[in-house]
Amino acid sequence: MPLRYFCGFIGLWIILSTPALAISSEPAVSRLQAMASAVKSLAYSGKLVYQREGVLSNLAFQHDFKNGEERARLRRLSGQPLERARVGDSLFEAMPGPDVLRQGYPLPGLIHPGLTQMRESPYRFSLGAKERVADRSAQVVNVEALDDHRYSYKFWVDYETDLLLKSQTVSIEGKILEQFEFSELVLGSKSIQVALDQVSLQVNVHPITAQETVLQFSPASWLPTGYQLVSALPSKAAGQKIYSLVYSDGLGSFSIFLELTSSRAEPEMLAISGPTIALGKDYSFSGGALRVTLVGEIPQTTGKTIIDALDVNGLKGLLGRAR
Amino acid sequence: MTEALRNSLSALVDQEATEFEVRKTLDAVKGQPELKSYWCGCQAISGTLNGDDLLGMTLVNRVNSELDEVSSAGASTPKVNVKFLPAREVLPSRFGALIGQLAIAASVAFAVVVGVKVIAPIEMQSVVSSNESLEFIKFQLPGSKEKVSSQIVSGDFDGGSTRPMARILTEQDVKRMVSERLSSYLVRHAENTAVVGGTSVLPLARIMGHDEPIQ
Repeated sequence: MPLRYFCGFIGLWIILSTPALAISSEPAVSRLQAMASAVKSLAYSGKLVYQREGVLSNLAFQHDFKNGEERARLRRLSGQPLERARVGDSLFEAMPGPDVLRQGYPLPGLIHPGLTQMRESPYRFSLGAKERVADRSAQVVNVEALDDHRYSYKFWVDYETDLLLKSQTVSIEGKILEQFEFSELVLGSKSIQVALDQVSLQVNVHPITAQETVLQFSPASWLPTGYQLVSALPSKAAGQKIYSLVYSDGLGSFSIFLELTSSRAEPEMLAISGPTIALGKDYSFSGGALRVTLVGEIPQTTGKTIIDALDVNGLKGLLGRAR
Repeated sequence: MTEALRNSLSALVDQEATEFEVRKTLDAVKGQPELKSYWCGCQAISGTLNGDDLLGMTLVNRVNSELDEVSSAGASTPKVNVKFLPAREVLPSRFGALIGQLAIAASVAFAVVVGVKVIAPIEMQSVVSSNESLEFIKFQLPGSKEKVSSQIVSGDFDGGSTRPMARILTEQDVKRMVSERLSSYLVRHAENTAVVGGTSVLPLARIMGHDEPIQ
């Protein structure tokens, strides 16, 4: 009898001590995998609505291939007529008016979840109901966070093509933090129509530069389960370095920016917009400050814990030597 | 204008500013007329030394031309002017330049900063030099419309009497402060997310959503 209790205790201990990993429903994961492939390989266009607290944008989207080059365009249909596009390795940005300031945002690789990493993170994947989006049948895929350090997601995947028709980012409390939804989807090549009476747009083209990974350290003393350093983007100019570290769990991500400044340390700051938080924290340093900024789609408390647990002394030493 | 800002501006004129420095400086230029004048002065000196004709250029054009060195090309569609940037420079310089261009827009780019909290950390007290009149302000979330509570710690470091100056920050001041500090990083994070593959069309949509002015 005692042996049975002992074995039971050992079994329970093993279960409890095992890190929370993804609970996967294979059909759900397969659907996400198919979605990741479809959004990059198919030609399609349509109109979508993006919404988060205080922001509602109507956008037209186009994705196709020409001469073997992947092309993607996104155009804002209400308000100022902004447009961004990617053609091969060039970025386009169009804004109205003569005094146009360029912004140069790279277009995302669209749906490109790190499936392996995602499966190792504490998410539960499951198939939901069949619903109708953009006059098409969609399969709901639920990605539920299993801890309080990340958000949950809900994807509506087109039955016929596996394209993503709708997406929601959901807080721990179940609140929808942001969402987008296609209202119209057309398969095949089709250009976004530009109204003839619209004001002139100045179009700027920016090259997408390849990133080099030379940063070999991660100052994060604590990370939520599943988060890994996926990219380190150093930049330097005039002898001053700024390090950008990107962490992801396959779905959510955050960046940590590190720089040594000669300016005085500023107060700690926090900004929240939808699912995105930005935390700024300066530490006094000889002749200036070590400036740490964390930005990402993670809960506020998680971001605060990460930034507070950074190895500040190690960073000061490392960055001070590299100055 | 702070000495740091003046130095940043000089570095910008000399094309030695870091990309973040460029953004912050241009943010500041937008909000401070005296800084704009200083910038114009620096530009005039720099332009004169280089033999450039500066007459007839707006500030924005001047910033653009200074940071950009863009070669133009014709557009393929009617009613569209196209500028082309060849993909020949590596990230730090070219990217820094184009980030500099976005700075003024970035200062208003983060459209709706919801629930802004500004907290003065303890170590702020140690960064004030002994010769400065100490002005230490504790910020709280602007619950009221007009004013953020302020606390002034008077300093008497050199034995003489120092008269602290109260500074009342409006909600807009706090928003501007937070925006100046964090906006460029928000943009950069969206870029990072995109570069590493991201999770969906959301990074792009977020960027489009951030193009609204601060309310």
